[in-house]
Amino acid sequence: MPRDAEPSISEAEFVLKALQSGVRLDGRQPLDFRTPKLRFGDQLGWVECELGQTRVVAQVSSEIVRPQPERPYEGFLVISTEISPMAASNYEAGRASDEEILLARLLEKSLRRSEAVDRESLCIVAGQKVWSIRLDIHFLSDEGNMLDCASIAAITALRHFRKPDVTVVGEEVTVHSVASHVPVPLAIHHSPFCQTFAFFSTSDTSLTVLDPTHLESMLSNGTLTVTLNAQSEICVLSKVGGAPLSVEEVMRVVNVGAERVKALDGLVKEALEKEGRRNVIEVL
Amino acid sequence: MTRRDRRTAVELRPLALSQSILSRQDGSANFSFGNLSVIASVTGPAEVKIRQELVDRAALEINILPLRGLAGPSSKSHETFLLSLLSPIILLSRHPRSLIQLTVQTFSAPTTAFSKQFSTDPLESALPSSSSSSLLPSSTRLTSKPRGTAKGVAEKAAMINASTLALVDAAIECKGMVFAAAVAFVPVEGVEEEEEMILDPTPEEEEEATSAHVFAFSFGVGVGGADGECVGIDSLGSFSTDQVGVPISLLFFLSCVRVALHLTVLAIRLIAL
Repeated sequence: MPRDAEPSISEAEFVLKALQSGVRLDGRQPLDFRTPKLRFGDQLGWVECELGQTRVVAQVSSEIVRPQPERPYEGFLVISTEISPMAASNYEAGRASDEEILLARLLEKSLRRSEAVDRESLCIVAGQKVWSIRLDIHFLSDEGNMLDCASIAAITALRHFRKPDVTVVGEEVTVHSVASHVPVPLAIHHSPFCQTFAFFSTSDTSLTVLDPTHLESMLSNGTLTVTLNAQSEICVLSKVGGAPLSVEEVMRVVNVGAERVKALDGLVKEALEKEGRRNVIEVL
Repeated sequence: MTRRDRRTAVELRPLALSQSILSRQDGSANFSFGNLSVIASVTGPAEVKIRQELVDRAALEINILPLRGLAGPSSKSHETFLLSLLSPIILLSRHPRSLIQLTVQTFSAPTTAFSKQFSTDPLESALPSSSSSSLLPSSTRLTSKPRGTAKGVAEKAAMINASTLALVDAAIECKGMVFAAAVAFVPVEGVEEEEEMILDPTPEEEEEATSAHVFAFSFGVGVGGADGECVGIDSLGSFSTDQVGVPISLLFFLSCVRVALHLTVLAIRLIAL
């Protein structure tokens, strides 16, 4: 597990000085998000998101399983977020570091606990057969802010995915192939997006950046992640440790996040529509 | 024999490759057989953990990750195959007490789940799948051998190719290059107990196959020259030794793999510019 080299003193000083004059290394404004580039695969439910050099692939698949006895009407949403050494060599295969665990928990809270996907619509025969939707997230390259990139890829993949059409007669279930019957999209209540902010606190000033790059997150004093949807609702707000922040700063940052999420939602919607025209699933 | 995608029996799907695609890795490559795409990354020589350390050569660590689900026994078994293929080819003795870390991830692959209609009605599932909604006319193929043994075989071949290209991109010294292609034996339509060989099976063909093989060839001075020599075979299913002997001696099979080699040489030349 090769460790990352610590940033040099000159790098640290340069980044901080530049930030104090409102400039970031890649030319962005402090509260600018890198524009995500979305790519769709041949099969439904495969989405790749690129935030600068950070790349994440999300793949959605479905299978029919038996529901839990205490919840016979609910399907499952299983999220797998193992970070492999491909993202960066300091990640170990099979063993999760602290940041990995945090990332996995935040993604789970944002997607599963916020009830983004309606699990009752996944029921086929109550108590016997339900859909289990599996979301595999693969981190290909870590150039900072994998969490936000993963949340965009994940929600776009869930909106892109379609499960096969099913006919139920009594207790007999017929699953139609995707070639004969048009597949059905998932019931999605809302689209949560994560927004991560990094803080640099010196003795007199506090600087905030949105969507930190890898170097910026190594040099920062702490991060705050707020998950919002386009209706300006907070799904998750997470500030674990790091330098203390004033209440005004937190409010300001949440408002900035809400604005950005509206723009993001529009971007994802546009990309999905464009893909829908390119890859026609059904003709109404 | 023409296949469903109108290829001949010994035609590969369109090959595509690209290198240096990941910013945090020393070397990376993407290799595709049609829409089956595999990405591989290499970091090395790098700091090694004490328990992996070897005094006279580099430790080669391989991680294989599937696209859907978690890495299971099949990934582990292919890691072992890759390890035995690549260890003799890489000049590990150049970097003692170091680590060369290779990670292979299936990037995109078509799925055959729900490509056939199925029903839980006991009467309906007992009938031959002659309904028009079925993509596979499997009732016309007659064989007593178990089928579907070829699942994932084209993926395995693509993984070997992507690994080689990533090693080249990372500038790890090697004696030569290893490339692989997948071969499946599918029952002949209408004829009993007879199979034919097809190169680079699609997922639908993998489901039909009675046996599947990954053939790996090494190319390079002293390790096979320009014609290549067979350095690895990974077979699964029911087959006879005559069937396996056929692909090795087929010259035009080798020329298909040579096409991949030419593409690589082209890629390297472009990088060197």
